[in-house]
Amino acid sequence: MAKKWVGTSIKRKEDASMLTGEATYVDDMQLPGMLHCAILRSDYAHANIKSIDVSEARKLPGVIDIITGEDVKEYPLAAAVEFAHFDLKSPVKQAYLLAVDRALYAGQPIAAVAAVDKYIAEDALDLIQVHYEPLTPVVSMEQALSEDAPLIYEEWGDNVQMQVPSKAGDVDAAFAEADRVIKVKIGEHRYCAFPLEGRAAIADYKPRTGKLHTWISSQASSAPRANFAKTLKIPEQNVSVTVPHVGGAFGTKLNWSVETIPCLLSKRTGRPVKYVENKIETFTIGPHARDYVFNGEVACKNDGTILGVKADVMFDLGIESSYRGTAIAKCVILLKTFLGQYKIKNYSFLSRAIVTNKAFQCSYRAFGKEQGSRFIERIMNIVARELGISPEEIRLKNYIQPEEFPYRTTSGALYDSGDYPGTLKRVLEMADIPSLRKEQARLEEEGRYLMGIGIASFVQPSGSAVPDGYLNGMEGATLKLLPEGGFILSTAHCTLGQGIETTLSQVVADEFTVTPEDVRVIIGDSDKAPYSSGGFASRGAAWVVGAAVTVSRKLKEKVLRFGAHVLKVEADEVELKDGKIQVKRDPAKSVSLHELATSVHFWPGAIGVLPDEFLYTDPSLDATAYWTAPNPPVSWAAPINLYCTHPNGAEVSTILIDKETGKITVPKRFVVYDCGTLINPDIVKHQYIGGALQGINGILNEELCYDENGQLTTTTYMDYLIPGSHEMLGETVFEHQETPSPFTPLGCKGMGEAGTFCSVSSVMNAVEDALGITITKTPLKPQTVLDYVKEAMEKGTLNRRREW
Amino acid sequence: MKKTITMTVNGQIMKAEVEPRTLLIDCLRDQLGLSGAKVGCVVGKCGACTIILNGLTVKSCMMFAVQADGAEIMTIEGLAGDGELHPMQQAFTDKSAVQCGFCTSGMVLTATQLAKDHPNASEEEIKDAIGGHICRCTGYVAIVDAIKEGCKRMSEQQG
Amino acid sequence: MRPAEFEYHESRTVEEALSFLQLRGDEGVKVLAGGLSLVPMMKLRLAQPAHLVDITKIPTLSYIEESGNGGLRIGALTTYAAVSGSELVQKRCPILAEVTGILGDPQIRNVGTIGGNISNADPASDIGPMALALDVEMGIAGPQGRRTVKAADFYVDLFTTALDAGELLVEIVIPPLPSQTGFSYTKLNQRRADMGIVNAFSSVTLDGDIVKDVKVTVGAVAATPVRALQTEKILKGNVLTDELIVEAANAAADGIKPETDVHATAEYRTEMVKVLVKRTLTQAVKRAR
Repeated sequence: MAKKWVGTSIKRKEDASMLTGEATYVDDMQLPGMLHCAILRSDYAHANIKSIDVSEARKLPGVIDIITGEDVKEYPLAAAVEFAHFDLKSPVKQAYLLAVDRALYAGQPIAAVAAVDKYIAEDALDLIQVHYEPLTPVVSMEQALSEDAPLIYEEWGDNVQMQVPSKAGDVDAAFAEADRVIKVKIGEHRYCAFPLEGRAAIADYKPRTGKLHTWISSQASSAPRANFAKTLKIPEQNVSVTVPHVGGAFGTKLNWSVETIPCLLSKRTGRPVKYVENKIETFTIGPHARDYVFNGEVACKNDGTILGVKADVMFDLGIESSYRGTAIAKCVILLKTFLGQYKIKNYSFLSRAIVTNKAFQCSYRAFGKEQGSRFIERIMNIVARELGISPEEIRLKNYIQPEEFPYRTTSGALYDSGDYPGTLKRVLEMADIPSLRKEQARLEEEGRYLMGIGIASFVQPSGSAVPDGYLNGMEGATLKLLPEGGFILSTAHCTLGQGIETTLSQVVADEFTVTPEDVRVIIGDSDKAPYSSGGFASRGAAWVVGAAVTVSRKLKEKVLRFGAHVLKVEADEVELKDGKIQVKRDPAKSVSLHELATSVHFWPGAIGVLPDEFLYTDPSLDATAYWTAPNPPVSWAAPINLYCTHPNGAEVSTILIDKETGKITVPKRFVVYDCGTLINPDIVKHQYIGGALQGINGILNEELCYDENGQLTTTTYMDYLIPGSHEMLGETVFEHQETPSPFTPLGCKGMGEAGTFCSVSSVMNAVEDALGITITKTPLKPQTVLDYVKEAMEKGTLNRRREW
Repeated sequence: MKKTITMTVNGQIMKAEVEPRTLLIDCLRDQLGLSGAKVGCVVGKCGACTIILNGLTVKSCMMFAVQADGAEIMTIEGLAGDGELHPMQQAFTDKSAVQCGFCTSGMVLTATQLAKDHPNASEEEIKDAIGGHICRCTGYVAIVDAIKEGCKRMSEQQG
Repeated sequence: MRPAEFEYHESRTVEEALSFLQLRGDEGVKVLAGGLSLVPMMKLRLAQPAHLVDITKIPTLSYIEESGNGGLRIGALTTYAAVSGSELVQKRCPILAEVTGILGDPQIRNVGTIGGNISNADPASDIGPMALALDVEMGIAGPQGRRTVKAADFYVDLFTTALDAGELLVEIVIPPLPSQTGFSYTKLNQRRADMGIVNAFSSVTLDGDIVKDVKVTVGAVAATPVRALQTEKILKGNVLTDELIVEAANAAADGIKPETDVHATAEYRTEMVKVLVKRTLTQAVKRAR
């Protein structure tokens, strides 16, 4: 048996190029005659634009073109995704890539310059005169919902873009039956990913042929092709999108409104135009994420059984979010995913997306799913504390059991597999809670630090599966066996640093009993592969791997047929081994893939390589195939399933609070994670660990702050506290579990978003464990925590006896 | 207005015509075609633009090119030998310390400098050494491991 | 984010630099040393000087030497890395080596200069409180020749110093440090490589258990670093106890009126002054013994 590559932590194929500076990101490219684009942003959160005078800027030598709102009116933005199936309470009919007549947030693009170099482009911005008429900005959800709030979109009559109720079971009966009803308020502040590489685009429009080639830093290559085509009124077949290496994305590179600006400038000037946003723009233009609040009530029995949940959820979208981001979809996703691992039969939710004069929202690791998860995981601990039972016991009481899979939740989600109690028990065992409790008592005695121990668990919906919905429900790939015996797998999926070229080549290598070195993976090019939704929603391991396996098996069938024909046996008498097709009962009779491929390509007929039925119909060693999840929703009527796989995990986090300063550190974490069949365990582990710091630092240190005038005050890495090396988390003890998914070809489940899910819940639960009170305010920066420490001291909850 | 500067870059003498305001990173990337150093954050916080200038790690987006006239520069492109990765680069891939790669070139250069000065660097020293870099993907755990390993390999190689 | 145009003047001597400083046009002239504060401001176009006088290539401004009386003379262009790595500094003024060794990050320490830090007069500077507490003297060169100004008079206001137009900070003179003295600096921040939300410096000279002399300074709570005179008064001449340290540390917050900004509120800063002063005093005492 050849070596099985799937399940092996081989080193990444991508690394050598990244380690040597060879890897190309958008800004590393230069085209002949290329212009550079700079963007003028709104000074005001809300203002009428009375006039824009670009005459001085136009006179600056080197300035080739300038566009303002007037110039974009004929190019209304195509929606980021089709929202035909979403019941938008208040749709926006038209949105533009630059502000037209009115600026809706500070930082909104107002005008754009194309100049011969980036310095001159910025010089030109200084010469543009904008005459604003300031209007009252809406800077909070409370203000947005107040009676006398200014209307951001007057035609709506209010500031609510979407309002989705969702119900299951009989909530009233559940609450009537309850021993206790516990109120919870849980939310998060505004923060986002802000990857090291910001937005970047090069657009190269050729006026004679009418073709537009773009290179963008993006999570998808197929979708922006349609997007650019629709907005710029260029036939889609004339638009190409190439996504080279991407310097991080995390959900934020799925909106292409700003990227359309250099495209329009290129179309107007007939020259290539590069736009690389600077980090001020990353923060001010957006996208942003989180910024929501749940006001909920939980009905439970004294033994910890959760009978029902009610909640009112509000999101602060910033400006409307159907053209620039896709954030309003979070309202729906959250409703379908918040049940987590629990058998909660009754719920009633109202989810509302509220607009304010702030930058727009987008997806950010993990598009509403993490919000639902954090809500339910916090609830479990809060309720357990109120009832005086352990957070372990309440979870075990309400978990879906291993024998119940596949399990359909009351919200419609279809869970594939897992062992939730087993995962939790394992992580508790690893953490050795009794010894942690001793350490906690010792530190309390010592006095300087308060230690907290937080447990949480999660199910992580991954790989959106919504045929006929807002994401397409299939993923395609093309595989070629080349004359010299090597393979090329092409997918229009994009790699954002997850090592997908490595993992896909592992998958194909196993199917053909070759090595990953024999397989080259072409990725991120809309011209070179079938339509791909892109790299988001942890789709890779389910969908793209699904497509890779399906196309491999399709091609393999052909290869075996051809091989059998050469070996003069029937197809079912041969097998692939060590890169050869051999006769099962007589392995000495074989033909290598190399020999076969050479023959098929160069001598298909003359020496009889191909069976007759293929010779004149399909003599190729190419195949294209699609994979779709076998568990799609039947219709959009509730209940629906949005994701094809559901990994799960559990964590224990320990935290220390400096009692005098309120500063939190995270010395040790324990993680058990089950994403089904592992392709490359180290890749999974390190993505999880990286995601955990992103999640935890987000809740501790990062915050997008707007002042009362709607001005963003955190606009660089100086003020927006992305973690540095000193902020890395303490030791993480990490263990994999592998419960294969029955819904994917190899049993893999998508995992990219996992790290940010539970890390936040376990840390928040740990803080509450230390303090004995409920935390409602985030981020947990030192001064906020210090206030909580004082509150806990006043209430006398610091030394609350812990039952577990 | 423009000034001609001469630098030794990765062992080769290079000339460039720059304006006073041209940042060193732009000169290296746009004029000399050395795009391994990245433009990250504007304010000198992310370290993606790190190069080695006259034997010291510096952030090349925080300097003007004219200041580098006469300097000796090494960029990530100058680190590896022919076809072989430098031991520090090898340690990064062996320890799974690369994800999106955008911080990697700067991080590796800083790590090689650390290894020269502190071949037995402790975890705290490593964290301090890369305190001027931001990585948004890895959570630093694998990077710290890799640098520890790389320091060891570099000193073995010399020893 | 690219700077606006400017005229560049590279100087090789202090005299040359001073002559360039006379060139000030309407938008003025700026001195380029490490550039850590200036270059980002220029990239953000918040600073658009017409002239930039590069002093980084003046060889005579980078040195560390003993002064006759056992103190130190440090050229203004000496980098943090050179200061922290200097055996002389480690011997004569270890606290200076410590502070310059943990400030920022290695790349910052490789280019950032001690003179640049002091002339920039950032209220959250890591050097300011120490300069004030150690009674450091600034050597200034100008068209009228040399003069010296003590730290207490040098820091005038937010990003404003006693340097007149056309003057250049050329030397930092550290007086000899008293014996039986412990020094401690600490800052509080959310990210360790950043400047502090609040910082504090203490110097404690002991005579047995009696505080013979004490200097306490805090930063990031006012336009300039400030002395905690009341704290010093409570401690000086008294027998040291934990209670006295707490009492003295609490007094450091009296009369302080810090600003609220995106990093911390005024109330929190005020409270943290007490904590950090207590911590630095405690450590300084430990080191003095």
